[in-house]
Amino acid sequence: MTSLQNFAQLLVLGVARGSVYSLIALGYTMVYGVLRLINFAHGDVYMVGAFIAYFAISSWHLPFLPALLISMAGCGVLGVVIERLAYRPLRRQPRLAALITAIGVSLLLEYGGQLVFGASPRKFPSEVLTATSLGALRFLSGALERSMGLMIAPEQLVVIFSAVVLMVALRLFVSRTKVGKAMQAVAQDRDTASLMGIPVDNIITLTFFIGSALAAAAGVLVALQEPQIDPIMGLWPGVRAFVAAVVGGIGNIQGAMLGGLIMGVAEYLVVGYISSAYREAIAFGILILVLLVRPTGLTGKGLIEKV
Amino acid sequence: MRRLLPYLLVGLAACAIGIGSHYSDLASPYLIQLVVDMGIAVILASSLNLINGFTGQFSLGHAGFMAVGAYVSAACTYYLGGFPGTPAEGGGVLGALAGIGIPAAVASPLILLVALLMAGVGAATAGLLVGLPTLRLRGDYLAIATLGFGEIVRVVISQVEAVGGPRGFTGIPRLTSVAWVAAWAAITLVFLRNLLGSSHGRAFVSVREDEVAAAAVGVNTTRYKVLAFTIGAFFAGVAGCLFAHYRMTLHPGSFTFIDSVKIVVMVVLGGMGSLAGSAAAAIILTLLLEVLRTFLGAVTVAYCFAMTIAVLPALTGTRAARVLGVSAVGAAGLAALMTLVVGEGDVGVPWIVAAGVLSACCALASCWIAGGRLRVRGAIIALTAISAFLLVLVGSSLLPGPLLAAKEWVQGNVSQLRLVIYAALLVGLMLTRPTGLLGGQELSWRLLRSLCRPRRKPLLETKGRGLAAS
Repeated sequence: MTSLQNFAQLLVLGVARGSVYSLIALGYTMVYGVLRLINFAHGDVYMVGAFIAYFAISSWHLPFLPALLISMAGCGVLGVVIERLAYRPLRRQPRLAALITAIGVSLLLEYGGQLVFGASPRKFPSEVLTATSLGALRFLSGALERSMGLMIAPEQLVVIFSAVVLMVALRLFVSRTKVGKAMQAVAQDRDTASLMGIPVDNIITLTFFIGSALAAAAGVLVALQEPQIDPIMGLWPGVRAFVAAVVGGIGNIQGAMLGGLIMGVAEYLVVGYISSAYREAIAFGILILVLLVRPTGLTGKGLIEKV
Repeated sequence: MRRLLPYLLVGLAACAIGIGSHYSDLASPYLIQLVVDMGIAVILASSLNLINGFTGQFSLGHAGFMAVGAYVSAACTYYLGGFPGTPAEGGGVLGALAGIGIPAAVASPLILLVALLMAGVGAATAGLLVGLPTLRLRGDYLAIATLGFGEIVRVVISQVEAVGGPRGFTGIPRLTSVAWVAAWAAITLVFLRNLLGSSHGRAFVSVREDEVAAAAVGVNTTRYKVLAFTIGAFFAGVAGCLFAHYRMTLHPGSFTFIDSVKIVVMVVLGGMGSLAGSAAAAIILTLLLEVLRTFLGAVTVAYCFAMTIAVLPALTGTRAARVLGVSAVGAAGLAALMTLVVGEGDVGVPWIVAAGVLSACCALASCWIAGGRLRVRGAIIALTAISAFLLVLVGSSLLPGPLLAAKEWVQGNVSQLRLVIYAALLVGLMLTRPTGLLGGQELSWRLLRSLCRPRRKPLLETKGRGLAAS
């Protein structure tokens, strides 16, 4: 394998991983946009998503796509419940109170997950994919290997493909539909949006639903690539995705997508060329560098301070 | 006299712990470990409060500063100290001091003191290095940058083979005792209190309140932010040194972002900008996680929590209701403490039951006196709590099958359950008291007095004034 091929291989793997980070980062950035809250529990919603799909496939013997949809819906509801019970009562309180509550909810989900699902990792039934008709993807993967010497598993193509579909759908939803525009309005100025007759509470609920559903999709997609799931699997991907959202410019949907891709690619390049020990540090290294040069992230607008 | 109370309390606690540690062969190692952990938590929480609470700079990297202090000092005592079982055994500083006639019993504390200062200075340097570039950032961005710093410190440490790398650093001499920890906790609190009472302290608070206005009246805001980071990091480093020389092993996994979060939780739960609150929350949370280890403890804490919820509304009522409410919480806490000390299934059980029933009765009575809808709520909660408590405690043989199975399941899963309860308590406390236990108040005679006085009801007040006007 030539060095160029090696680089391209790492790049593709990085994009596959990065698209998952982007999906999680979208939830962080959307919630931050409307509430100015770092939703620490988001990474654990991602974990719950993987577990719902696990049970849907292994206990109810559902095929992949229905399992994915059930997991997205289930986590969407979970996100809404969390917002309703834990964040809404604190909306007029100091922001730090909501932040600590978010950390509490995150711990609750992690340890509750250990209690309910057991702490030991389980194998995700990723063979469910080969059962479905993904011949086209396998053909594509084979073609890539023959023509360019890139080893890309069909699972990774599924991940990239699903992530792109979801992100395009979200982009269209936010920019073209009335509800999506209402969401943008709430993100810009909650009080004014409310004066314009936008039902702010409903929009926030919807934001949590969509963000959590995207996290669930990310959880299922990661479980396909690395078929090991356990109750604290959401911790580091959650932190990394949050870093990705900040690097891209938090509160900005394109920023989250960009940041996720940067994180994924950087992670694989570091693992491939330097050492896997720095896998976690690289995310934060990029973060600090970006924040020093552009304190509001790559796509962030400069903050205007009014006195 | 007015300012004496905190010193009095700190002094009393230090004396008690000092005397206690003198007779430490009476106490179990477990109990000593618990006290050491509490003291270290107090240092960490109160120093973080200087950054987060008083200066208003949200830092999520305190465990990183602690790690710097712990590893710097541990490496020094391990490689240079000359303690038995380390590479420099027989030589090093200990050997040199012995050469000029200073015995090891005198030399060890001296070495620890130097190590503590080195840990503090090392961590403070790290704080300065982090503070200078990142303080351009604000709010959440600063939080994330400090989180990143903490993680980078951890990754870098785990790459240094001289301090054990990812396997951990073992063989550090045990130099810390309870008295050292208590003394440093007292030093931290007194230092921070005096600092915050000075004009520098006002400057820290002014940065928190309004940075622009502070700069406009001539406060060098950048300087004070960096200063807060440096001082906070210094004490975090000291705490790290005490930790390293008590545990005798260090592991990079003990300084993750979750550990930073735990310190932040102490600060926020105790009340941002309240040293007394941080100290109290540090002690309570450390104790809580230990109490939850036993099954009975878990039940008692859940029960105390129910009591607190039942009683808190009553605390706004008349004096009698408040006194009773406080005593209910106190009795429930006593029950928890007895569980910890006496242990499960011993002679203590009847006492715990008695305390539980007493506190529930107090809660009920206080809600009753507070009147209105509280009576119903208080009655329901108190009765449920009493019956649940009695059922689990006394009737383990009388329990019907499913409940017995539930009890066994709880006993089998205590280690996970305690963290679940911890998290649930965290969320519950934040929802009921978003500004923390003490808010921004400090412990003072006035606060103690106001606790014993009835709070006036604003509604009645306006009514009365209205009548007088007419």
